[in-house]
Amino acid sequence: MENLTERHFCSFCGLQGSDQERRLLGGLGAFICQQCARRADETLNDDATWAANQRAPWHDMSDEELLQVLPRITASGAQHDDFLHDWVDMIRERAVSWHQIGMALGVSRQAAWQRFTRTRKAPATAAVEA
Amino acid sequence: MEFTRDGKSCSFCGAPWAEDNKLIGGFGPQICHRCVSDAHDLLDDPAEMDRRRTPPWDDLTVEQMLNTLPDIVRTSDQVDEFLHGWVGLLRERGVSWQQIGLALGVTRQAAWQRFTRAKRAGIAEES
Repeated sequence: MENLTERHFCSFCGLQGSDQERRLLGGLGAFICQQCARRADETLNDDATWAANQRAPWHDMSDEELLQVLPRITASGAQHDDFLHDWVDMIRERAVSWHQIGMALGVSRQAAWQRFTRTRKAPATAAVEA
Repeated sequence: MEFTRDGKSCSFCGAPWAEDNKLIGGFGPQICHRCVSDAHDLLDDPAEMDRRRTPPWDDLTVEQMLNTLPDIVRTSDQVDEFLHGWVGLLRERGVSWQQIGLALGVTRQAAWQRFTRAKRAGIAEES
């Protein structure tokens, strides 16, 4: 599994990572860029900003705006799903059985196998142009 | 779609929402206060970023990888739920499958099929 910033995008703003201008930090399949990390830091550390963020943003969005965000959500989901599948592939490459993978997830060998050998969702290439 | 952080967890470390570790949401994923602070420090430190070029999973044992798996599954399902919530919101407002398909660059039929199939069962909750 590769660890390249340029291949991923921020799960918060949807913008493509760049080693020069938009470094990304990865988590459990999600990524955050330096700009969003800075904004999140400010929001979380300022009571007034935090309070202002306690309302669902979608209530104030038009249908058009909601539709514009939709591809970003599907792309973020695909990116996360891709990471999950890569993770399982890496575990499998180390000769771990489906039984063990199922155990880790609290499901049967069969359920684990079914979930991860089904075809992947569309690749997460739909990053928004920066 | 309800605006709640109950039951949500950080897409970076897996920690659940807590009063002393707030979560902030993106396009489905969430990030917790602790991870934001870490990310903020790290991303502004190019030297440390360079040191992190080696993928962290190269040094993980099989057990560690297996232990992380449920968190990856849970946070992946979290994005999926958010996506379904978002589409539900559009449909409640009377937006057609055609418009939803257009936004995604797929047909009306493909959009409908993708979002009206039963939501993927949370694998961690099956047993």
